[in-house]
Amino acid sequence: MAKYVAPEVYNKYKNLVLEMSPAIQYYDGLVAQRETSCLSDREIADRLGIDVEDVTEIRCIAEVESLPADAWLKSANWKREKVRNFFK
Amino acid sequence: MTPEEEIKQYGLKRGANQVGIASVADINKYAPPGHRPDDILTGAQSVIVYAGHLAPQGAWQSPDYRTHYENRDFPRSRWGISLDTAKLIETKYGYYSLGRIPPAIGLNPSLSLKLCAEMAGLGTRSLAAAIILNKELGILSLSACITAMPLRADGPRKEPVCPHPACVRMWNRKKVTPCLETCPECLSGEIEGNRIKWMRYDRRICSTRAQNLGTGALQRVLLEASAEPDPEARRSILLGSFCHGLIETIAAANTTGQCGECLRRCPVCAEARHLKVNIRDPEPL
Repeated sequence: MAKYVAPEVYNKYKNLVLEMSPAIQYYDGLVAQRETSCLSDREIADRLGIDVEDVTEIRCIAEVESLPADAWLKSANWKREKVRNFFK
Repeated sequence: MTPEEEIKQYGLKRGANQVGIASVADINKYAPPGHRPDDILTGAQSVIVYAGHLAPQGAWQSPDYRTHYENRDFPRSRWGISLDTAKLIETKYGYYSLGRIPPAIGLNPSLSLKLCAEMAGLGTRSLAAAIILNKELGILSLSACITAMPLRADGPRKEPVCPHPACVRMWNRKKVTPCLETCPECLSGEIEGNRIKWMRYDRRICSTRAQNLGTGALQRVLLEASAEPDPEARRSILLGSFCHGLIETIAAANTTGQCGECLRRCPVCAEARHLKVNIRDPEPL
């Protein structure tokens, strides 16, 4: 069974973990900015003072959960439309 | 022939379009601990990176976006090339080598192939999701062989491939480029002079497109279905066409690389996929 992250831990850290992880990446020129984002789970855990396994679970769950449930269906329609417009 | 030349020729013969070599020391300047080649292979010295066209160029000519990722051929063969090379190095030169890397955890890779390609001189980061662009091949499909064998590294390219001069001109006129215009939800950035000044990439949104029918979508469908109290609605979620396509795609292990829309109008990629007819009047059979 997967590691269980307590809801209070998840809710407290999910936005912070997402911001600090590679979920949203910032580059200065061609180099990833790794002061506040693009950090590894270990680096995030060290900064937040929580367990690295908790960070991994929070990141994996939040990266899927932070999007609307129909995001994937809408993306399929988005691609269909983009290609259709290209060949118009 | 040097060992580097032999190893590169071996990869090219097996189907890679280009091969580059990166030093682990160069990669480790940027990769965080836990995501370095020597976290995967103790004593790793070099990473041989294989790059290939994603698909036959005709895949970009299809008005059905699904044709594009169904035709991605190099992604199906790339890890065979790196595994073959690992075995060649072990048997001929006697250095421990690996042809595959451990799987990602969530969307975090165990090793960034983009970074390896960059350090092997195969291309540079682009405004389009920091994807590595190659002047001759455009967008790349990548695999890597990690080896303890010390090899002469190619090193990163000095001149960036992105932005293309046409994109610089477009930026000066409209403050946008083809990739930023196509996918503003996912990408933002700025060009200054003829260089990328800064860029931002939202991997979460990209994953709903590039891994449209993939693990994240399946996890979300299952979560929504299990939380749905109405059995009719639950049936629609689970037995509908989206979920059907999702399971079919996962079963075929075809879950990544399902979008290339940000690069459809990219001039670097357009030049790379342009074909010139070689035989205008083929003799009838």
